[in-house]
Amino acid sequence: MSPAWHTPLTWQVDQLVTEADLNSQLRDNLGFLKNPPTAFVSLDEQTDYVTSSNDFVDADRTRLALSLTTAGGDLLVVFFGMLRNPSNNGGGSLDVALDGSRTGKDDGLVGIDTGSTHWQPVSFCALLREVPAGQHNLHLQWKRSHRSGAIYMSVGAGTTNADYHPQFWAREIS
Amino acid sequence: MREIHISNVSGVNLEALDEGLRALPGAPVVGISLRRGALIVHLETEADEVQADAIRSLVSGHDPQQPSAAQQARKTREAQLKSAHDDAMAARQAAAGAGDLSERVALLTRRIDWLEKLLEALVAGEKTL
Repeated sequence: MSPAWHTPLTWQVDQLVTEADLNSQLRDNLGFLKNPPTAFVSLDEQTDYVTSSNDFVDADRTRLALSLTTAGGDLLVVFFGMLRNPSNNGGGSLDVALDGSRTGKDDGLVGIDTGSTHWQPVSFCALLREVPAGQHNLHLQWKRSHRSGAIYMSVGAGTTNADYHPQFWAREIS
Repeated sequence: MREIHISNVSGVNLEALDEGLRALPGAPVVGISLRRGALIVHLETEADEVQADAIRSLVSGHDPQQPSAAQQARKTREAQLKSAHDDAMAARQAAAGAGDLSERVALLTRRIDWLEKLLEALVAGEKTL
């Protein structure tokens, strides 16, 4: 867990620097910078995930979920994994919900637009700006596109030649 | 959006179940998801209990062996393609002993018929190179 962040003081001439000042301004703030609020998940499940939803839904409300308490500022949110929609006209989209609201608009942050039986690498590196201080919950959301087929995610289920382990993580970076 | 969670599900024919759920009267179904042995049916917010019960009933009676219409169509096309392939191979063998031009053209036509079906399957994404 990250130490608390303390707003840096503006030092004055002849100001007495106390033990509390040093501990909060140096120890805690350096500790915060070295170990910023971070939440991380990597999947290793028994069966691959799949959805045929036309609208964005949580990919896994329990496992593909991040919770972290921030000092307020920008959040870096990262996902990478392997997806496919075997339907010839199919595709799929990914998005992130911050405290229940999607951060990408329209068709989300990223996706695949061609149906294929082959797994395709999909990733995003999203910056969520000016997130207020406090506890936040992030969920990976997904949907199929073109209202066709179903979108699959490889989650380390032992699928031959496709035993991939997606990662989903967030870190406060300002 | 509403959701119906059904735990400990195995052997789901996702395509067929999805097709069946969307065909329900009023069809408040947005889609279905499978993860960690659970089936989640995503519904429009306004879906009522009667519709939810109809969905639970359909899911409990789901037979994963029963193909969807699209799966059945693919199966039929696959059988037609195999039949055309076998016929094309027979025509290829017979070509060596063919007598006149019209017989050779007829044999060639059988081989072209297979190639046409193969191309259709490739374009439909049912076959890959």
